[in-house]
Amino acid sequence: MTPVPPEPILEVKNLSVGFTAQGRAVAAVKDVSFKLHQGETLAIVGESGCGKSTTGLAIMGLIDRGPGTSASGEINLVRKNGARCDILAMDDRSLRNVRGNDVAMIFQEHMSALNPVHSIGTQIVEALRQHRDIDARAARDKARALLAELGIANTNQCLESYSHQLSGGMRQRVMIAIALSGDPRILIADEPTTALDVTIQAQIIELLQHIQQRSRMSMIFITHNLGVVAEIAQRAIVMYAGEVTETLPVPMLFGHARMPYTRALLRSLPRLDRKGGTKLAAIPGAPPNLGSPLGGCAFHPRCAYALQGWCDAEHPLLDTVANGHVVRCHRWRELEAVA
Amino acid sequence: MISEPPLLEVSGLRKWYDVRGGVIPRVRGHVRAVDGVSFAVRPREVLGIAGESGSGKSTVGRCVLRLIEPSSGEIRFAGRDITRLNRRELRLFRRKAQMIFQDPYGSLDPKMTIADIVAEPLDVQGMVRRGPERRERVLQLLDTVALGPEYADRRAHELSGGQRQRVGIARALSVGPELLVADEPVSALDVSIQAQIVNLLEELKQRLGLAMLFISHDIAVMNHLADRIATFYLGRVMEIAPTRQLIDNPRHPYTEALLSAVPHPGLERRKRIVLTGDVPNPADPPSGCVFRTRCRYALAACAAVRPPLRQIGDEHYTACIRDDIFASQTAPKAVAMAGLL
Repeated sequence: MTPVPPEPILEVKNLSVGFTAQGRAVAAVKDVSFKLHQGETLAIVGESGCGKSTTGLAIMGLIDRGPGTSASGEINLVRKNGARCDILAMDDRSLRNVRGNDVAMIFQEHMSALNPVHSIGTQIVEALRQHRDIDARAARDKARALLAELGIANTNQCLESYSHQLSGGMRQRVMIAIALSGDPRILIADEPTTALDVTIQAQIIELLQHIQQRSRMSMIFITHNLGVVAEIAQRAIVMYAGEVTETLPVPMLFGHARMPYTRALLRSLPRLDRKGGTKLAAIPGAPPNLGSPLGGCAFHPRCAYALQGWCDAEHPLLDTVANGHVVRCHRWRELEAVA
Repeated sequence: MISEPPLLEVSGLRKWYDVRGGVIPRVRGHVRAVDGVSFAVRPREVLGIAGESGSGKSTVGRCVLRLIEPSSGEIRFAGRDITRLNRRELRLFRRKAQMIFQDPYGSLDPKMTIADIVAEPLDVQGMVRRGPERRERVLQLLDTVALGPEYADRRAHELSGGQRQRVGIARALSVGPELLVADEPVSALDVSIQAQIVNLLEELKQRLGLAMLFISHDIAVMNHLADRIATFYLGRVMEIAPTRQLIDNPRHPYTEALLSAVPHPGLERRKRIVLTGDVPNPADPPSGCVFRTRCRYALAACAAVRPPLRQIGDEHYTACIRDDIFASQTAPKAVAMAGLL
């Protein structure tokens, strides 16, 4: 592992986000803390409803602070000019300056994330001029250069076209171009390849890696796909029911994960290197309903190692396994030997 | 097993859609969604159909059940050409072949109880009368897919994605079919739930002796379920082989690329073959081999004629003219990682 730089460029401290849905309070994100260093790719892994996307939205300052929503904690960001700010404490005006310039985001829904009535060129130019003091012509040149860098062959044609005329892979490249237009230090990618075909997914992952190596940008890669994590990230945070259940370096993920959920998730993955007809190790049950939280560990009803009177009664705290590896499980020490 | 006559035999299947245009609308061309596809499924066999969006894999699945009408070609089920069945015969055919859909949300009527959803094919087919017998049958079917009797009177919105998919499977099984067409049945599910459904399908295949056409973009899921896999590209079959054979020794460049694009949850990072560009327009497919525009082995000859699917080994067929490229490669690509997990 590379030596850890002294100061992270992003530090999320005790982030909690709650919503009121149909009169019930839903805790979407509970007490999440992590750091992100320059040039690092951090994966946030989990299934639907685990709070991974909400965490990403919170870092972008996109959690609506209207009635029915609560957000607490700190999201400390070191900006490009060295200034520090807490995203949760900022007003909309100053947030607008942070978004795109310091932190940018790409989404899974590449179809709905682009405006269907404006040409691709107009949308990239708009983003560029929002972030840079340049005229329309210079912005158009810059847009062309950005698209070329993202592997689009016919950049002029792409700039003239509308989103429905492009393929999924092309649209995702355009989204990346818009995200990169402000030259951000942090890119949050929320399931950027999930809606794409595998061969196109491979193209986009390769592209993101390439951009990152060149610009030393940091990336938060939100995904449910552990295979993709292995390809792109250095560190992974595994979330379940709104909480961090395990944080560890990616090389440790395969073979040294301690949390039973992480292990079970890995074992349930369909794989090419297994003999056909082998049963997948499915996790019984379904993820919990966040509206009616359980006592004890959120994973205990599905956990093969849960102990009655302990795991269902007492909520486990994050415990340090090794440097850079924390786990939320009462029994991780005992389970060490269990393969 | 080889001598057993196939349950389903598809030959020369085509589905072309007209493209109309102009001031006076007339047919200007065709989208060749499926363009001359042949394959067979034996009784109790699972054939995986792997391909990306636009490969025609779902169209094939729907043609096989005649949910859409094929443009030409033959589809023989137990020896009978189902493209010629009339309405009454078609309804009887649907007792033998059923479908499971991808979207567990859109495929269940929100206003119906789970019991009514599961029993609907039985009602349509007139196979059961209302009353305790029907109820009994529903509970039995729910039990088959590991859902308790308490689900019978609930509605779809009260169920999770995985449970809904179980309901969809129970509905398909209600008439006692011999063939299931499963179109991306686990793609909309979370990983932990996906494994439950894959295992359930595997178990049903064993227990009920079902044949299945398992359509998916995910070749890793297929590895756990399919006996043989066919890779589809732009409406055509590129390669068909027994699952292990296809994964360990692909003999078509598209299969090779598709396999190498699957993200690998392991420590070693393999050299990936990244296909450049996008899938060509099916209204204007390339001449000769449709994959040649993205193929790293393409020669001038590949543009000349459409390569036929030809046999290159025991049950192994490929539509690539280049025998030279894979001849030297025999090293298995996937390294067993079992010890690490």
